Amino acid sequence: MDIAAFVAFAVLVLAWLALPMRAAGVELMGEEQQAA
Amino acid sequence: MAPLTSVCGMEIDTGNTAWLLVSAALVMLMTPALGFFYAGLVGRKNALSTIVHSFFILCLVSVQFVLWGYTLAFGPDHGGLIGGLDWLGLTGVGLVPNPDYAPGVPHQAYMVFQMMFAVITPALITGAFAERISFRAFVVFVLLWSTFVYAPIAHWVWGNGGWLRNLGVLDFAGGTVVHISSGVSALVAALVVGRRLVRAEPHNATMTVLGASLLWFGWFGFNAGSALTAGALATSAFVVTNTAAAMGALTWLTVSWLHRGQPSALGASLGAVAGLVAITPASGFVNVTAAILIGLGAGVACYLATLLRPLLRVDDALDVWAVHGIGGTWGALATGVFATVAINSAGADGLLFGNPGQLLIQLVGVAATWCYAGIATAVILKAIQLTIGLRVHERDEVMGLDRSQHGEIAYGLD
Repeated sequence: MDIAAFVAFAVLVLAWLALPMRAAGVELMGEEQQAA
Repeated sequence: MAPLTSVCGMEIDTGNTAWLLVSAALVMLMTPALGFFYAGLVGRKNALSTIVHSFFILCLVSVQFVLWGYTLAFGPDHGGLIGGLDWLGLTGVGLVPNPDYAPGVPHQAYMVFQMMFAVITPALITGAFAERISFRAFVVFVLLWSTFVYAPIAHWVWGNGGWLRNLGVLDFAGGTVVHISSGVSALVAALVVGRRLVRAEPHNATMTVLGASLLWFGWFGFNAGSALTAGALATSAFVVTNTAAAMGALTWLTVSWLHRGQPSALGASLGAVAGLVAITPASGFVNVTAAILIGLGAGVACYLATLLRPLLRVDDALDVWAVHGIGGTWGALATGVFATVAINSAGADGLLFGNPGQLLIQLVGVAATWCYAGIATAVILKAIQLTIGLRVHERDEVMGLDRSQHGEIAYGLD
């Protein structure tokens, strides 16, 4: 169980390093967007 | 050793009493925090009404609980199903400790701690029918649900003589009583009330992150306070609570990043709450590495459950079922896997410590809560629907509940 916990955390950290970031930018949220 | 006083010859542990009262105050804060957490997720013309739902429940259930809620949940047992009316209006519930529930602390301190759980549980459900329920229907629903759903389930699991307690179900702070009951009821409520005319996007993510942070803070009272003593067990519960919350947030953020391409602030907030939900039943029975795995499982399971919403075509507006129903179910079952008497000698070992039977017992607790909460909530809502109605008029829904139900608005520029 202890090893599984270390592995789980390590997988998350590696994922943050490896995951690509969508380049589209921030989408507007809320009703301002609907109004627009 | 903590200083002692006595009431009617029974000793009061002032340290434990202080911790329990502070914990009750921490749990109290969770209900308005939930209001802000939910309000950020709705459209701006329903922000105030969403906050009012939580605030009003704080007021309503505070009175309901002292009048009849506490005695139904914790009063002298009737057949393992419900408490008697012996403590109606807190008759007999005074400052003398009740050794069945919390030795060494005034009975009213235990009662008011439990009251805060009874307050927040129906407030959790309000996220399912946000932006379309009439205030009148909401008030009637909360009163009936607190009486006929919350009180019996609390008695089954925590009441002296309750049938699930006697069976050996482990629920340290409310995985079944609070989270499965509210999560399943939320799913039923979303089904019966029906879909919103327009699904608004979250109008204020900062409000939701702040609400989640305050929920996290209050959850220390929820879980560590459930030790009922200011000692080693409370400390352990505090640490695993914080760990699972953090791991839930990290996991949800990562899974949503993987799925949608960006790390989401709302995802981190929802993930923290999912981790907190899942560790709730386990918090007094598991160690820190188990908390990491429980938080991880919550982040994955609850995120996947949110993806089911469009498939189920149920408008559980703020994903109450996904976070509390699924998170609570995962936590209750995980308790049967990871529990160890090394943490709490009054508990039991789980599957990983050589006792697979505990997992089956947890499964019975989960199934009983799912079935009863689901059916009873459907009956209550149908009765309200057939009498005073559940939803606001379409015109009022388009106008927003802030203006149509309360004649007020959340923001000056509307």
